[in-house]
Amino acid sequence: MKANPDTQQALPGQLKTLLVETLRLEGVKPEDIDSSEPLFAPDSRLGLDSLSALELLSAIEFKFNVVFANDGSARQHFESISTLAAFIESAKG
Amino acid sequence: MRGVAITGLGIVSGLGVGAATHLTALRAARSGLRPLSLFSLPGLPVLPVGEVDEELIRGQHPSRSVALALLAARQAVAGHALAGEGLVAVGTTTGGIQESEQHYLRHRGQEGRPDRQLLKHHPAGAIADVLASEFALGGERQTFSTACSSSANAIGYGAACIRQGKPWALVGGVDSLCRLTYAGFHSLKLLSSEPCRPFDLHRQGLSLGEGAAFLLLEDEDQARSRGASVLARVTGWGCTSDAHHMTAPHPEGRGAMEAMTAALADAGVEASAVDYVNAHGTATPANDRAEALALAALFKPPGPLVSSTKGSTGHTLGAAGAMEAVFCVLALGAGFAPSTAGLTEPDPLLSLRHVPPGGLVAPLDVALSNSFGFGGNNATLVFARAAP
Amino acid sequence: MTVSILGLGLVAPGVEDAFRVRTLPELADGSAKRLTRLERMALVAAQRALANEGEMPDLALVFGTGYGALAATAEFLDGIATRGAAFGRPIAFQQSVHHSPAGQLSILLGSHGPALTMTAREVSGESALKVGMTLLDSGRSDRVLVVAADEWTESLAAGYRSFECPQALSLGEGAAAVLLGAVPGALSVERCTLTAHPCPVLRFATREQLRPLLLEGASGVGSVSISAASDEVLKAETWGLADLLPAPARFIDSDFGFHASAGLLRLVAAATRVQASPVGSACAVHGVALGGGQSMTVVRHVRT
Repeated sequence: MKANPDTQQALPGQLKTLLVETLRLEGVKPEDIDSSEPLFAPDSRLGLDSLSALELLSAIEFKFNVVFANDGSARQHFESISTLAAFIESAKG
Repeated sequence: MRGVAITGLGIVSGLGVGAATHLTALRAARSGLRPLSLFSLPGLPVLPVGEVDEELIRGQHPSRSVALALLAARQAVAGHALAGEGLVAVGTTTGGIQESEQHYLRHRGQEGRPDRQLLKHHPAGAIADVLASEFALGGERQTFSTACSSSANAIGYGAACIRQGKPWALVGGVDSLCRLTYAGFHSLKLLSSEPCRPFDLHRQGLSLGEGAAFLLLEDEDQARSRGASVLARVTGWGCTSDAHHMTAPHPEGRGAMEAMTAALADAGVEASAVDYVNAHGTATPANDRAEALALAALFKPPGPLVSSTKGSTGHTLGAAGAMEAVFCVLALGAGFAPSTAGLTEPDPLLSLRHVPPGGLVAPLDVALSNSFGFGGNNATLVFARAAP
Repeated sequence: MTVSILGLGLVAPGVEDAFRVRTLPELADGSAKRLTRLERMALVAAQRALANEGEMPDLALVFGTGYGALAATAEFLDGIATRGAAFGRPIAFQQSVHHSPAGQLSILLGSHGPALTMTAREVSGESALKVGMTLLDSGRSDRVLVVAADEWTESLAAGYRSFECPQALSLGEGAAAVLLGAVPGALSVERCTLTAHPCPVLRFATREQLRPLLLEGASGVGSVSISAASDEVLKAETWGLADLLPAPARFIDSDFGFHASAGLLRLVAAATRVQASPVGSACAVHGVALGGGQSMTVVRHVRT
């Protein structure tokens, strides 16, 4: 199924806003987040941890009506905004 | 810590009610886990839990946690006269929330006066109040709410108070299955879809449970001089903090090791004296790994026998420490180490001397029980067989 | 055994704030990562009590709270109600655990000693103090930080209102911290007694039940801080004290409002007053809880 270019542009932006709002990140604007920057790595400037990842996971499942597998495979999708967007696209595609 | 005798005990869980029932269940490695039926939450799977048989508490008290606590505490105090200023110490994580969460979900924080009885026992401290009133007990009341180590700390504190001169201490813990913790643990992705498998290669998370357990503590000399049976002794309590993360244990179990070390020092025994360890053993990948590392660091091979009873009762949160204390007392008294229900293929990365399937009949003199909670709280208790 | 107060901390509503902490203070090092209001109040009170101390890796922490992080509990349950149970917010759940502030405090301070959370309705702060004193008396710790905190939420206020208890009292919020040490010092805790009386869960003990401990604590001191948790309790305390101590020696720290941790805030206020009074001054701080709890703590200015 052909990806909708409008969704492809909007999705990373939506995810950045969702991340900032869900995790209540003070002093971080969605547009300041680079789509490929590491979110949860130890050297990530956003300083997010495993609990933040779970919070974001729950928010994404609710908003985008997708389901992450509970077998440890979800971790790879949370590397960056781009990988998350790719997962959502493929889950809905 | 010397001279703190356990002269009464009581327990109720998904396995049933009473010490005899539980010892029989442990000998049979019976699992008390069955599909949740107490409530349903649309969107959440029905998972195996250690749910108490409704018949045991029907009509006993409007608050489920109070009903469970009364059922267990009654067994512990039966036949004992408790005069003077003693201690009632209860461990619980959610108190009366089984009812108050229903009020909240219905009224969303408004007065909701027609249902107000649902709020009556919401505060966690109310359980100790009801117990004390029910048995007409005077003295200090304390409620410990340190997540999964709550009742282990209640017991340790009770023992410390006996050493400081209190005439008796009714100590234990209780928690009910409730929507808050069921949905809460689900959101943390910590629940297993099958009955939990502590220390197993294929473990995938914990199974929740509910219930209550209580011990009656008093000075050992006092107990013997009044002709009371001494079931076992509490000899050590260690309590430490990971200071690491709010929900994940320290990956190498450092805080756990410190708690066990502190408890053994408190008991005045070497690690080599421990015959049996009732592990926290929740069957989450993280806990079991961290706990196994801590045990391996503390105990030289071959090490003590180790098992987790959460495969039989589920993780009963605030009641866990007290339930597992009861299991240690039963194990010491019967000369029987229970096996780990749910463990079929031990994880080879965890160097533990598992109790063999079916349990092991052997004289046991010293038992150690671990309880580790959210917020990095680690509590360890040491028990000794009653001297003949 | 001598137990001295080595530090005091308070986060309380201002006089104009109608019993709510309108402006949340910042943590000393500026970090406020994912902390609830309750945790922030507790941690700032703790930092204030520790202001003059260096590192204490074996510090024992005892946290008292009547209702824990009710806002987080409500937020999690709201999520179940609005989004569905499958989409629970894990952070709200973690924050709803009563022990969460104590866990955060242990991480903030890097302390590996015991951390305990106590809950005893409206004598939760005093309960925590008692446990702290027991840790010292038994030699298990030589420094204990006792912290108490409770927050105002609409659902808690609604709960008290729906049972009409206590009558005509303003629900408040706040946090207090007391650093204790088993060493000689200027300010000592002479006694801390926690007891309770058979009583319905939503009533205070009767005046006859309260009198013995109240009289015992208030004898031999120059002032008393009474709870006045409700009109009924005020009458009971007044009756109980009879002619002991004239009116000016009876303090009612009502600015804090009424809440489960108010007892420890009142203790900090009493300790501060006593410290500023001549050596030998002492105050008996009385506390009562629904369900029959009662506390009596005496602080004395022992030396300069």
